[in-house]
Amino acid sequence: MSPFQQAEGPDTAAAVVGTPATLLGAGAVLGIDRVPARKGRRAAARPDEDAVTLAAEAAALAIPADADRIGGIIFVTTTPPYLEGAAVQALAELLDLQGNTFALELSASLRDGLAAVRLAASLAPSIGPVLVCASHAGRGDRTMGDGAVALLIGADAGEGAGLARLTPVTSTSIEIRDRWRLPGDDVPRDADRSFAQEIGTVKLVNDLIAGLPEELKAPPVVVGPDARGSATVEKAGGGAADAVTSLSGVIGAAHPLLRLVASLDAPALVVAMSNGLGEAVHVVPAPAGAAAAAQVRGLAANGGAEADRAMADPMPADFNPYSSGPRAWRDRDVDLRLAGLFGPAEGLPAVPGRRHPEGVIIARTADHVYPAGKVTEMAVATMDDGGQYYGQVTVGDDVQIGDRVKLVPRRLHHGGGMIQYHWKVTPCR
Amino acid sequence: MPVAGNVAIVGSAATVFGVHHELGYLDLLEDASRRAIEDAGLQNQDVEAAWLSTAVTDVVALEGESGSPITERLDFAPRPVTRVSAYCASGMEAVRNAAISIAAGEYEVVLAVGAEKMRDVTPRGSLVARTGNMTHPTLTKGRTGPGFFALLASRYLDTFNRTTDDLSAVAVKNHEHATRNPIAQYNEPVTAEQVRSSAMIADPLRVLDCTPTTDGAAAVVLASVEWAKKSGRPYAVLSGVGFSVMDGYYSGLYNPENDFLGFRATREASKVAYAQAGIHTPREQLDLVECHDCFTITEILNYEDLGLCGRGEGWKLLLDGATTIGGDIPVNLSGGLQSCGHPIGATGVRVVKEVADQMIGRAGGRQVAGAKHGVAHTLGGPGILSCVMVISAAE
Repeated sequence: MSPFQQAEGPDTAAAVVGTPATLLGAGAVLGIDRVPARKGRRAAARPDEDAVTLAAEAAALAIPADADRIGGIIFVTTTPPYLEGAAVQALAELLDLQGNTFALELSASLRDGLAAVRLAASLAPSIGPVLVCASHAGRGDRTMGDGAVALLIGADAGEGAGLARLTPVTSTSIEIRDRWRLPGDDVPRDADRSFAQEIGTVKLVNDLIAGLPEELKAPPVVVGPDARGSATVEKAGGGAADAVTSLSGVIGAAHPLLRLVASLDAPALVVAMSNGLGEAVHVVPAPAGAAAAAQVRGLAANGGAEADRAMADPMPADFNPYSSGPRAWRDRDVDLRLAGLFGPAEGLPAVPGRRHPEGVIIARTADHVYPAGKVTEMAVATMDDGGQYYGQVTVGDDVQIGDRVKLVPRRLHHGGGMIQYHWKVTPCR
Repeated sequence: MPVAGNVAIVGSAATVFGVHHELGYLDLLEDASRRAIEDAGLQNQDVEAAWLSTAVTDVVALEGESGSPITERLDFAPRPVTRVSAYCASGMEAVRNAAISIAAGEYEVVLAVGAEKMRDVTPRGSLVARTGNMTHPTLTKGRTGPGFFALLASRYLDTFNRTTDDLSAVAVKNHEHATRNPIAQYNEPVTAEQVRSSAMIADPLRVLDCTPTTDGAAAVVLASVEWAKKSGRPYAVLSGVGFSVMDGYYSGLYNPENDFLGFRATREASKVAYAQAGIHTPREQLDLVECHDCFTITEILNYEDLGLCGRGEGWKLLLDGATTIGGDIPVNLSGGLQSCGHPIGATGVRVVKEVADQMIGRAGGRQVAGAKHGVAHTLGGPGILSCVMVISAAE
C-alpha cells in the first residue's frame, strides 16, 4: 500500500449487538444556574458541586424506593475529581453501595455514557441491576454544561417493562481527534470544525447508522462534541427536535443519557461519537417512559438562576483545613452517610443519599470570618425524621428561619490534598 | 471537706488585658502570679502547688502545654504544677481544681493562674484560622466562634420577636461599665449607633457584638477559710461551685436537646452551685454577676440560664436596666469580655478575681455597696460545658 493512500479503517458498518436490558429507573439533575454558552445557554454547577455530587443527586432520583440490591455502579465523567485514584468509591458510599459492589470509573470521552450502558446491560444478568451515573462539572468551562444523569439498568424483561428496553447495537473505535484535553488543560481543545464535521461526527455517525440492520434502525438521537454536526445528522435521519441541548449545553458523558431519557416517548437510536469512539443504543420505550421524558425536558426548560460566573475561586493560600486519610476512612460512614451521629431511629437518617431527607431551618448566619475566601452560610435545621443538622448552606443559596430545606451531598474542601465530601442544606426548590 | 464554704480566695492580681506586643506569654503569667502571691501577703515559697490555665498553646510555641511555665518563671521546682484546659472555661476550671486540692487537705496554699497570648498573630490568624483549619474535616465545617453564637442570636431574635437593638444594648452597657475598670482592653463607652454600624462578622453579630482578641493573665491564691481567718487579711469565700459538661464537642451541636436558645451546661452548673450556696432566688439573693459575654447574645442567654429571669425574658431584664450598674442585679460590672477582652485561659481567673474583689470591697468605682454574694460564670467549647461559682463575702 502506498504511504499516500488512506489506510483502511475498521469496518464501521458492522453491527456489534450487545445484551438487551431493561431501564428500571432514571434521574437527572442540571447545574442550577444558566449562563451564556457558545450557542444558547448552558447549565452551570455551583462551586461546591462536582461530578460526584451531581451524580449522587441524579442517582438518588433514579433508584426506586423499593429497589432490590444493586449489583454494581459505573461512574462516567470527563471531569473526574481525582485524576488518579478514582472517585466512584465516594459515590458508592454516598449511595450506600459500599462493600462488595462492582464499581468502575470511566473517564475517556463523551461517548462513555453510552458505553457504560453496554457494560451495565452485559453485567446485569449476572450481578443484578447496575447503576450508571454519568456527570459533568466543568468548574466554569464555558464550552460545556454541567449536570448528571443516572440510569438503573436491569436484566432484560422484554418490551414494555420498566421505562424502556435498551439494546446496545454497535461500537466503533477509530483514531481521530475532535475534542480532547492534555494534562493541565482547564478546557478541552477542539479540532477544526469542518474536519470534525466532515470526517468526525457526520461521516462516522452516518457510516455507523448505515451499517445497522433495518430492525435496529430508528430516528436518531446524536450526541457529539460538535452540536451542529450532530443536529445535521439527526435532522437528516428524521430524529425528533432536540428539546434540551440549547438549554443545558452538552453535559459531557452524561449528555447521551440525558438525550436518551428525554426521548423516552418514542423509539430512538441514541448514538454518541467522540474522538472516533462511537456507541449506539436502540431504545424502545415502555409506557412509563413518557413521564420520565417529560420530566427531563421540563428540567431543562425550567431554567435556573441567571448567572455569569468565571471559574470557581480556589481556596485562599493560607486555608488548609485539616484532613487525614486514616480519619476519612475510619469516619466514612459519618462523613458520607451521616451514620452514627445519632441512632437512625431517633437521629439523622443513616442513608441520606437515598432518602432525600428534609427539614426546617431554625437558625442561620452568614459568616464573614471563616477563612474560606467567601462568606460562608451556616444553618441549623430540625429534620423531619429526627435529628438536628448543623452545617453549611449550599454555595450561592440563602436560607431564612422557617425555610424548608433538604440535605444534599457537596464538596467541602480539599484540605491536605484530599477531597472532603459531606452534606449541606439547600432550599427545597 | 467540700469546697463550698471551706475554700477562700486570699490573693489575686491581673495584668492589664489588651495588646501587649512588648510582653510575652511568660511575662504576663509571671506578672499576674507574683502580684497575686504578694496580694496574699505571701512569699513565693509559701505556695505549695499551682494550676495553670492556657487554652490555645499553638500560638505560643507550645508553652503552656503543661504547667512548666510556672516552674520556669516563678522558680517553682520541684513543686507540682498542673495545666488545665477546658476551652473558654479553662480559667475557672483551674481555680476549681486548685480549690479541690485545698478542700482535700493536700495543701494549705495554692495558686491558680490563667494566661493567654493571642496577639502575636492577627486576630484572623489566631482562633479563627485555628477553627477553620484544625477542626474536624467535615462535621460542622464552616463553624467559627462568632458564627456559632450568631446562630443562637438569629434564633433568639426570631423566636422572641426581638431586634438587634437588644444585642447593641449589651455592648453599650458593658462598655459603659468598663469605663470604671483600669484593666479593661477597651474602657471607652460606645453608642448603639456605633455598634449597629460596626463591621458585620456573622450576621446578626457585628464587631462590637464580639469580644476582642486579647493578651492577658490573671491569678488567684487559694487557701482554706480557716487559714484565711488566721491570716487576718481580706478574703472571699467559694460558697458554691458547679462544673457541668453536657456533651462532646461536635455531638453537642447535632443533639436535638441543644435548642440553640441557651446552654444546658450553664443551667446544670448553676443548679449545683446555687444548691451548695443556698441560693434559691438568684435575682433577689445575688448582688452581682460576672458572666461569659463572649458575644452580646451570650449575655442575654446567660441571664436566663443563670435563673435571673425566665426563658425568653433576658432581653427584658436588660432593657429594664436591672443588669446595669445601679440596677438590682448588675451584670459584668468589669465590662465583661466585651470590654476586657478574652485571653481565653485567663478569663475565668479574671472573672473569679473580679467577683472576689467585689466581696472584699475593693472594686473601686464599680463596687456594689455591701455585696454579699456574687456569681462568676464561664462557658466553654460550643456551649457544652460551663463553670459557675457563687463567691461570698467573709462572714
